[in-house]
Amino acid sequence: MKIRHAIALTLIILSAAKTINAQSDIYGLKLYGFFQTSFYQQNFNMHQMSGSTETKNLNTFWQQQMNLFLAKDISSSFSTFINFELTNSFSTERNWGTFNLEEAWLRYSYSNLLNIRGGLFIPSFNNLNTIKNRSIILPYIFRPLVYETAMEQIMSAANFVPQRANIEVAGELPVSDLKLNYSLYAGNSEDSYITSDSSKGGTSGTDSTKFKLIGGRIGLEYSNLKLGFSSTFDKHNQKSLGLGNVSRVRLGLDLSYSLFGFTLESEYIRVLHNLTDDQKATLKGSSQPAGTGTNPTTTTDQSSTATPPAGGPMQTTDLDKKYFYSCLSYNFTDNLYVYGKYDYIKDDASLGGMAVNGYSFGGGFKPNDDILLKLQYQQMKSDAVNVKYYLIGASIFF
Amino acid sequence: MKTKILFLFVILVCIKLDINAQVAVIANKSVPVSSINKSKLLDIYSISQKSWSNGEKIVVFDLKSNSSAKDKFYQNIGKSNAELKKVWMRMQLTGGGSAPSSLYSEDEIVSKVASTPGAIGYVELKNVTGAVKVIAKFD
Repeated sequence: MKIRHAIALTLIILSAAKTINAQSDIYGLKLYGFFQTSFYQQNFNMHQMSGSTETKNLNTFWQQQMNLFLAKDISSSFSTFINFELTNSFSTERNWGTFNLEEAWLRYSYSNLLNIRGGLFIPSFNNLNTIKNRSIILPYIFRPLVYETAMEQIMSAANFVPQRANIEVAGELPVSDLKLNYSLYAGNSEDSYITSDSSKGGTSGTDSTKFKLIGGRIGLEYSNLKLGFSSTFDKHNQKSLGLGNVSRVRLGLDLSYSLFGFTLESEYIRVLHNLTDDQKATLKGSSQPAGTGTNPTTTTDQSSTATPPAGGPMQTTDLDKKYFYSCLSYNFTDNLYVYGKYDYIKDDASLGGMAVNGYSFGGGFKPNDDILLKLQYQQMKSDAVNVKYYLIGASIFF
Repeated sequence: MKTKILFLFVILVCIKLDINAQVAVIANKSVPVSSINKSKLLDIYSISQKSWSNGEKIVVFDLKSNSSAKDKFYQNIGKSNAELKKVWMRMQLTGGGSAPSSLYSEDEIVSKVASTPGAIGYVELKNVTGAVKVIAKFD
C-alpha cells in the first residue's frame, strides 16, 4: 500500500512538475549568446601622409567578440532583455579588450502597434545599427566601415549612427500586404558628455547636459522589400576645436531586397552640422594650418585641408559626413553563400578630406544552425593608405 | 505475378496517400480564433504577431526534423524554414522574441499544444486529437 501511495505521489509530483516546466518554458529566464573568433592577415601600406611609403604586415588570431544575453518574458505584456558584450579577448588581468553592459531594458507591449521600451538599448537607425554587433547573423567578419570597431581609432561610429537610447515608442501597422513600422526614441547626449569622474561632480555615467538625443526610424515592408528612413537630432561635442556644442542631424536611408537567392542590402548616411556664424569663424580660423581633424592622422595631411578649394573656405572646414554601403549576396543553398560589399566614406574631420573606399568579397558556410564559418577579403583605400585584410573566422551561437 | 503487381499498386497508393496527407494547423482550445489565414500564420511564425486578440501570449511550436508536414506547412505560408530561422535568430539576438520551441514528433506537438494556453503548431491531420482545435488545413 505504501508503495502504491509513493508511486501515486511521485506521478502527481511529476505531472505537476511537467506543467510547471511548460509554463517556465514560456516565462522562464533564457540565457544564450554567441562568439566570433577569427584569424587575419593585414597588409598596411601608408604613403603620402609621411612623404614616404611604409608597409606593415601583421597576422593574428583574434577573439573578436562574445555576447551574453538574458531574456525573460515577465508576462504576456512585459519582457526584459540584457546584453553583455566582451570584445578583443577581454581580460582584466592582461588589460585586454572591453566588457560592456550594452543593453538592459524593459518593454511593455500593448499591441503590435504600440510598444514602449525603457532602460538602455541600441536604437533603430537604418537596417544595421541594432544588429551591427550580432556577428552570428552578419555574413562578413570585417563589418561595413562605420560599424567596424577595428576602425574606432580612425573614426568613431558614434559620429555616424546613434549608439544608445533610453526610451522608445515603437510599433507596426499592417496595411493590406504592406507593413509600416516606426520607432521614436530619446536618450542621453553622446558619450563625451557623460561624466566619467564622480569626484568632479555628478555621478559617473550620467549625462552632464540638458540637451538630449531624439531620433526615429520609419520603415516599410512589402514581401521581400524593406525600406527605411532614419533621423536623429542631438549635439556634437566639438570643444577640442573650440566650437563647443554643435547641433547635429543624422539622416539615414536603408534598403533591403531579396529575389531568386540574391539579397541586396544598402545604406546611406548623411551627417549635417548646423554651425552658428561664430562657430563657422572659429572653425575657419582653427583649420587653416593644421587641418580640421581631431585625429592625429589628419594633421599631417597638408594636401587635403590646408588649401581652401574653389568652392569657398567652408569646404575645408566641413564637419559633415557621408557614408554609403552596399552588399550583394547570393545563397547557393540555405547553408552556403557568397557576397560582394562596397563602402564609401567622406569624413573630413576624421580623414582629413580624403574619401575612403572599401571593397570586400567573401562567403560563408553553415555546417549546422548554430555555427557559421566565414571567409573574407577586405580592402580599404584612400589617397594616403591602402589596407588589405584576409580573414577567416567562425561565429558560434550557444 | 498478379499478386506482385497488386502489392506494388497498394504500396504506390499508400505512398501517394502519404504525400497527399493534409496538414492541420492546431491550437490550444483557449485560443480565440476558429480559423486563420496564411498571412496571419506567417506573422505568427515570424514572431511579428506575439499575442492573440484577447491579449494571450502566442506560444509557437515547430517540428525539429524534416517531414512532409513541415515541408508543406512552410511551403503554404510562403517562407522556407531556413528563412524563418534567420528571422528567429535576429529576433532572439535583439530581444524581439523567442524562436519557436522545436519538438521531435508530431505527437509531442499535439500534446504540448493541448497543454499550453495560447499555443499553436502544425501536424498531419491524421495525428490530430480532440484535445486541440484545428484552425487551418493545407493539402
